[in-house]
Amino acid sequence: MKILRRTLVCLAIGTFVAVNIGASRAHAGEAESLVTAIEAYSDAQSATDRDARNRAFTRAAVLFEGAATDGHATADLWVNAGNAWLQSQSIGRAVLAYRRALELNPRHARADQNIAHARSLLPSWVPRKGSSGVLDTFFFWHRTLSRNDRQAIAALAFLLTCLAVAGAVGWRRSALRGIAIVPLIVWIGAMGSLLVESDTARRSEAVIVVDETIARASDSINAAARFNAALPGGTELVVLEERVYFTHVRLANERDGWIPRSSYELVTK
Amino acid sequence: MLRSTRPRTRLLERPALMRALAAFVMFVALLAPFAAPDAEAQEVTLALSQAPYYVDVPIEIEVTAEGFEEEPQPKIEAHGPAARHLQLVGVTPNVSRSVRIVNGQISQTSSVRFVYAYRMMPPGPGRYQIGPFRVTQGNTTKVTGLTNVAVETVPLESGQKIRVKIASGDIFVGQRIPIEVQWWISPELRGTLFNQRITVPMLDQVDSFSVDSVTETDPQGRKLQSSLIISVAGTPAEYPATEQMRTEGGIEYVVRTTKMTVVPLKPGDYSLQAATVTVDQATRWRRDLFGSRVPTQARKIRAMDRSRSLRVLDVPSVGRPSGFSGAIGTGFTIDVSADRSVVQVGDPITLTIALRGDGSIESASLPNLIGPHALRPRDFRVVRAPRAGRFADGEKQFEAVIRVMSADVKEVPPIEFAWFDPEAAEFHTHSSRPIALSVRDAQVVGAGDVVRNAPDPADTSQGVTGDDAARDQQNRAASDDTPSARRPSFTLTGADLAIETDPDALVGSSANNVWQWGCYGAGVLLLVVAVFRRRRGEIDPKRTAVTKQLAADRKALASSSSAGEIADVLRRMAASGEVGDAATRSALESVLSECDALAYAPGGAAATVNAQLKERASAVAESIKEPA
Repeated sequence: MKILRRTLVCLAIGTFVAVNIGASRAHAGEAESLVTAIEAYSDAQSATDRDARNRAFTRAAVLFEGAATDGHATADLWVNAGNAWLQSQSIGRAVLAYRRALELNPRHARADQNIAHARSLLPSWVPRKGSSGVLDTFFFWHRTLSRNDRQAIAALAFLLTCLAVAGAVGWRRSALRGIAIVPLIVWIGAMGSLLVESDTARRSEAVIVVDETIARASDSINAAARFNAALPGGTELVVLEERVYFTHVRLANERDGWIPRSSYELVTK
Repeated sequence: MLRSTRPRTRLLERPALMRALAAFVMFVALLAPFAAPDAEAQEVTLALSQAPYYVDVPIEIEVTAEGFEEEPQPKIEAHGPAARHLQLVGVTPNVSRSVRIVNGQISQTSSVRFVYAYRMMPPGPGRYQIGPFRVTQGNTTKVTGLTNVAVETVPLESGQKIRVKIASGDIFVGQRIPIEVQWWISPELRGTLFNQRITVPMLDQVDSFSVDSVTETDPQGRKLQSSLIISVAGTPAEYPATEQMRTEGGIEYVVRTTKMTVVPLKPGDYSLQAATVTVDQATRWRRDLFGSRVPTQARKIRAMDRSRSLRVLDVPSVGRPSGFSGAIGTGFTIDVSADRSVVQVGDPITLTIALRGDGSIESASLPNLIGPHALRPRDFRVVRAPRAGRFADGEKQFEAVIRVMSADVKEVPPIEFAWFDPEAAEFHTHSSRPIALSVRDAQVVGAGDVVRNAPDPADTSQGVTGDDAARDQQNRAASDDTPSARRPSFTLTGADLAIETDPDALVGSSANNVWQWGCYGAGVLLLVVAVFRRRRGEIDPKRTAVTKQLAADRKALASSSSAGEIADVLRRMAASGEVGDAATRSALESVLSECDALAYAPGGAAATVNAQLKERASAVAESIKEPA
């Protein structure tokens, strides 16, 4: 038992040290680029000329987005990128960044506020995502908790379940058997939520990032326009089918059309 | 087979002359070594293909010049009354060299030979004098002899027919005229004819008529197996033909038909001579090695169609539309597509213009793209005009690059294409469909330049309108000013634009994943430990005590050396443990008795045992197990 205990302690310490060393090394590089991005954002805010201001915010947005793509982005980082895009008047990219922030933290207040504002800048006829249904109300946590949160809850619930079961089995504490049921139910719920939110569904949501994108009736540049106006950047849609040059998409009001593949970006990469 | 004719010298066989000639030859032979080496003697000969010769059947003529220098090529001229019927087909130079070494002396000889091939097409029956031909190289000139040939008319044979079908009525320059050339063969001639050749005088007039296409497949798309040899521009060529049975006058004929289209190139009234077919009819046969019939003797026979006249008119110059560029035919269409439809002023747009139709589409060209029925000059500029175009699968494609010059432009307007319909003798036009354009001004417009508009109430509930292209077309006029105008003005008053400035807060850590996996790993480990502990707890404590005791005894046995101690340890082990089978028990008793004997011997209590006995004692101790 002594040996077992010593091995466990060594393993735990080794893992902790390795993770912290790796994280701190990665952190150093990312922090440097983030400082540059933050400085660019500050410079942009102090610019008075409109064109220079736009250019500076675009630069800051690109830097924030680069950092977010390269490392382990947080919702705050995507919100920073979204704010920079919004101030450079790129509504499409701003909406995309806020959507990515909310993907990581659905309760992020600033992201929620700013995406609502960005959506309000779109023409009124652009369809928006519908309100939540009864099931969404019941399973609110499924929507309000981020994927990472649910993964963490699932891991903790699993550990608690194992602790209770181990106590009941190894130390003959029969009361722990009943207690183990609670974290087990939590674990099953969290895992079920993660499974229901399949990869396919998550990976099909997209945002138009190129202004004046014409949706067509088929996957050809010569096909008739599907709608009477071009779709502005920031239009949110669902990808139905991807082909070489065109993608079949569905808007929030169930209308569909074909748009160039280069005109949108998926919310989840 | 060619027969040869040479200028002949008649020799008079008189003794005095012979003596004088012999003296001259000897004189020349004596002088020869002192004379300068002369060039090889030149010689020209004339050869003709074998008689008989017939009207409209070519006579092959060869003039061979030997002994000339290799360079330059000797020039040849045909003289005589038949020279105008001769056609030089080609010249074949032939140079052969040989080197001889005799007694160390090297001698080199070369032979130069030029063969001039002529073809003569006798226009009618009669006698023709062929030659002389004059061959000249530098100052050397040689002349061939003459030869006379008798040309007769090929006898008409009623068992075959030639028919050329041309559409009646006026035809226009550039119109594609379908022509059928038919050769009818009666049953008695079937299998006896070979070397068939058809002459259609219209097809020989290459300046006035051009063969546009020849049908090579049947209606089912299969390649035609039969063929006709037709002379076009004086050169016989094999053209695909259909073969079918037809009955006329109670006789069943095999009819071979070649279909082609001909395009008249010049206007005028043409009197076309009758088309003829000339063919060899086998009159004698032999069997070859495989039993097949091979003709050994043949006669030429022919058949004639009727002569005809043809009027070719020019396309009317009155009433020509501006979009007319010379296309003649029926059912032309023009389609225009653009590579982009959202542009800024000045951006290039590549237009792909496709022409289709039943007519001279391959040689069709486009009208000017800038004009009243095409692109307006104030709105568009042609950067790269359409060039020759590509023809494939019955469609001719052109590419042009244009630039939009005004932000007011809403579309690439219809482009008009006009053609002349020769059947209806009138002009027709077809216009391409307009292409909607979204043109933005090239000037950069900032947020401050945008003027807020009142939202369009008709549009708020509708969302994206239009279900299909037709509905979009209807709505487009009404929505031309919508996309930018209905967009709310760009304001940032409702956004929280502060950013998180702590780099540590902006970057997540991979430790999250690690500790999650750590939770799963620790949980599984806990379960394993619990199960292990549970199993361990279920073991009998007495049994554990015996096991421990036996282990301690084995250790004591290993350290003890006196017979008494060994015997005590073994007895203790046998009492607490299980000895097992009879062999072990017997071994145990044997070791104990030997130890006892040693211990009870005088002074033996402390006597040490030998190594062999201790080894046997250890083996017995190992065999004693804890009780089950």
